[in-house]
Amino acid sequence: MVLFVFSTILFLLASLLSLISRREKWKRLLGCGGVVAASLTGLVPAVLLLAGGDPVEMTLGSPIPSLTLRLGLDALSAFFLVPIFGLSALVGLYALGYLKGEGRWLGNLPFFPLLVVSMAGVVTARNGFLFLMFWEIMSLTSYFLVTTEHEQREVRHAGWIYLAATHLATAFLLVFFVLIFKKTGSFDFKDFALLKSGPWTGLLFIFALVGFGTKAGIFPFHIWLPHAHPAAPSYISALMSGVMIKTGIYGILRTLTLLPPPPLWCGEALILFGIASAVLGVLYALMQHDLKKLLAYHSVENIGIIVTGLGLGMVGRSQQNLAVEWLGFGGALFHVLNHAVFKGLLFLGAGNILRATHTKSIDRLGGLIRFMPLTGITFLVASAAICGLPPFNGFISEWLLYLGLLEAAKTSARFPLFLCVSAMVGIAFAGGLAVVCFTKVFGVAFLGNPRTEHAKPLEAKWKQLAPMIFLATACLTLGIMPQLILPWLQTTLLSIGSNASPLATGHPLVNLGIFSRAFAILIALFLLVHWIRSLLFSSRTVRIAPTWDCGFKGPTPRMQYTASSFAEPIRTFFHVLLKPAVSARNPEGLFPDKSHFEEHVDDLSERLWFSPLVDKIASFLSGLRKRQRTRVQDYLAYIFVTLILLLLVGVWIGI
Amino acid sequence: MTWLIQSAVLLTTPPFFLGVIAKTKASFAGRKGPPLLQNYYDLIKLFRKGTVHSPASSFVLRLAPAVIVSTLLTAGLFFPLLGRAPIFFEGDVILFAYLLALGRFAMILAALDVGSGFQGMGASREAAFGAFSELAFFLGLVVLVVISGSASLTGIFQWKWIHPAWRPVFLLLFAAFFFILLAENSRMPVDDPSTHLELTMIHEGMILDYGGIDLGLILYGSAIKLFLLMAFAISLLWPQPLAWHWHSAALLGLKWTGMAVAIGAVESVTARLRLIKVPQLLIANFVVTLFALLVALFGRRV
Repeated sequence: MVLFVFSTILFLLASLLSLISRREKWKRLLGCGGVVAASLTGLVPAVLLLAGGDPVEMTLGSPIPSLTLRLGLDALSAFFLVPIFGLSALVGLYALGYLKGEGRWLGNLPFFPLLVVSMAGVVTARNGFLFLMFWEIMSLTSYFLVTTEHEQREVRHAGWIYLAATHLATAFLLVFFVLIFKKTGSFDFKDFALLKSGPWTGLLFIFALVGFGTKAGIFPFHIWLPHAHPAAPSYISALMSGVMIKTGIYGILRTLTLLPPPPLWCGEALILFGIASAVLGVLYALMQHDLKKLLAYHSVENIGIIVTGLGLGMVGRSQQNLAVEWLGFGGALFHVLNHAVFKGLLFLGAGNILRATHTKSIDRLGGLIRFMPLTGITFLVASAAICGLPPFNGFISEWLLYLGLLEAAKTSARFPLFLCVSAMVGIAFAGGLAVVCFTKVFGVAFLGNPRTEHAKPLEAKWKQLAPMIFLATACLTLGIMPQLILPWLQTTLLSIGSNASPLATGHPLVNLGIFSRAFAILIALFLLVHWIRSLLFSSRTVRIAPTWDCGFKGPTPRMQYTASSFAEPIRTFFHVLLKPAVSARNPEGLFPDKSHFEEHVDDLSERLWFSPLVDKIASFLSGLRKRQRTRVQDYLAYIFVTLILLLLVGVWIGI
Repeated sequence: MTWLIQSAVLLTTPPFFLGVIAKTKASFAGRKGPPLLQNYYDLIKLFRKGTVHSPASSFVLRLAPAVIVSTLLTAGLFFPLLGRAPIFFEGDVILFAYLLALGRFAMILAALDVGSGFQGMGASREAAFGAFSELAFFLGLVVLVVISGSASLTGIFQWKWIHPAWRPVFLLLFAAFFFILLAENSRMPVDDPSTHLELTMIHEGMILDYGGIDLGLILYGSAIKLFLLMAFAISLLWPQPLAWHWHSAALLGLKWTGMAVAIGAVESVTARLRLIKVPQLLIANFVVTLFALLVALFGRRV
């Protein structure tokens, strides 16, 4: 805990020093370097705790008598702190290179250490009041980081959507904590256990789901993600998508394990939301042309997979099926870690592309791998990992989840069985679509020929590449040796009151060590086949000649398949759901002049729910504003009526 | 022992069954057809040739053949071909499916690597149809796991070797997996393996720019993929015995040849579908699997 406090102080110092220093270089060095140093310091206690240390708590003091602010570090906190600090350290190093020569972005840099420390605060707070405070600091600092390029209109718009969404989430959480406070008389997490099971639990669950789900990006509350991520600088997107949205998952896990066991339908609802997020997230991702928007939708997909795992774990817990509980929670937790690794890597890669080519549109790129080989290779590794392909880490967590679903399908009947089958098929379909999506991104952006004439893109500097190489290595290591993480999962599951422990040791279901063998065979075979191929080729002639194009000599880059054409079969099939808006002008006449084709897909939940809702509210409020007169008596009357209403609510409903 | 024999069978026999399909098709058309071992001659010829690389291509094009072949060979090690699989554990069905997906991932990227519209077209279709056929595949896996109570290929295909009573579930599943086999291997109602008309093809479109050893490896890989999916389909009706015996090799030859003849017959009597119909057909196949699930569940109650 001492190291944890020390790291917190380092973060605050980094923020302050970066704020007051004048020179650009010092601002950058202090801000980013401070994050690296502080994160590495904070990582130590988290790793030590997961390796078998004892949970610690400390009291910050009681500002008012009934309120004691406490911080605590247990396995669940530590499990989330590892990706938070780990990714922040790497992102800090990356930002050190990325922000070089970007003086106009440095004004918002002091918020970067604050964002990291507030995330750490969220996962260590042991008190609803403190939790909400950190939650709000996290939302505000990330808002300021998202709007770094606030001179652009879209960025301000995106920031506005993010701010609205995140406060909506906070509002729900506020109600959530206040409801618990009314029932138990305490904001302290420890006292939540006093709550009796009853109809309240379901209500609390709904508030937690909307509040935490909005932050996490569960469909249909995800609408801020595809706006905020493209607007934010890439290192911030990496941090937000890699770890910040996971605080929502942490929230769900923490509160649901503290509260009395929720009814079965809560777990089932989580599975349903998870499936919807996974499938729709990847479907919308497939339709995007903006690289960062696409990655943002993929966060929705991966959150969907995590939430499915959480739901499965809860269903397993309600049915006292230890194997299902273990596999569900374990898969979800492992995926949290994995998603931080590969999604962080993907956003950092997107940052390199953006910096080198100055465009986010995939259709304008092409052939980047020749100019940026290291960015390309690391991006390829992350793409394979996010599709859940072996031998990378994404596969292991999805495998745990599949195994849990199959296990549940074997033993359950009726509605849970239906859910298991849907989840199984949904996640498999999402995986298939993710393959389409990432072959599209990698194939169109990195392979083939450049589609537009631009200055030769330059590979990023080492400060940017080193964290990416580290993350790519982590993708492979966690895939080949998943048994390394098993004790961590076990400790974490114990801390959330799961007694499904015997499974981790020697139970045939969770024999993760077998993957080392299987993947060793895979890699050895690959090397062998490739070696034979090279051996054969060494005595043959290999010529370089243009791509064969049906006898037509001289194909141009414009003849290549674009991202939109690549996704066309899927879009055609789902056009009823996606409703793509197309504006096209076909070439006409003997000497066709300019023709163009453009299409974009609006988000379902934005189109059908949030847009109309916001419009209704806006028209209602503008109607109200017309009635507004600037007389003090009116305002007093408003206040009076509100108070009466609140009193009545208090008397009748007893909240 | 199982290791050695299974690896040997996996390495050497797959191209033979392509020959059987070609022979069947030829006899349907009233031709004599190429010799049964023609595919081996083709592979040997290709392995002796050099190649031409496009200047647009990168290391992806060069690594993909080895990835494809190695993923399929590894997947083959999880399948109980002659007795128990060399490696088996709970959940290896998922690994099996994802290894095939990894091969597809490599194939699609290699197609996009040369920067041509034709390859892109093939890649786009392969990716989309692959996603759709995964629906039925995974649902089929659920059914198998529910029936057999095991999530391992060796556990699933462990009936006594006479052949399980031909229950309706297995007939439905066989139909579904047979269709997946046709779709995944670009066979007739989905794709025409014998045409070289670029605009209509899927798998052939993707490998247009490959030549020599690389093309040989990819064709070899497709043969293994066909072999494995045939194994999956036929084992539903008539699984291989779990204990190794010499006659299991003979049985394997017999059953796989039967499957190859069936594929050849289907290819001879059906026409290629319009591309736009293919996803619909794949969804229809998903519905067939759904029926299998329902039948399996009703069976469980009784």
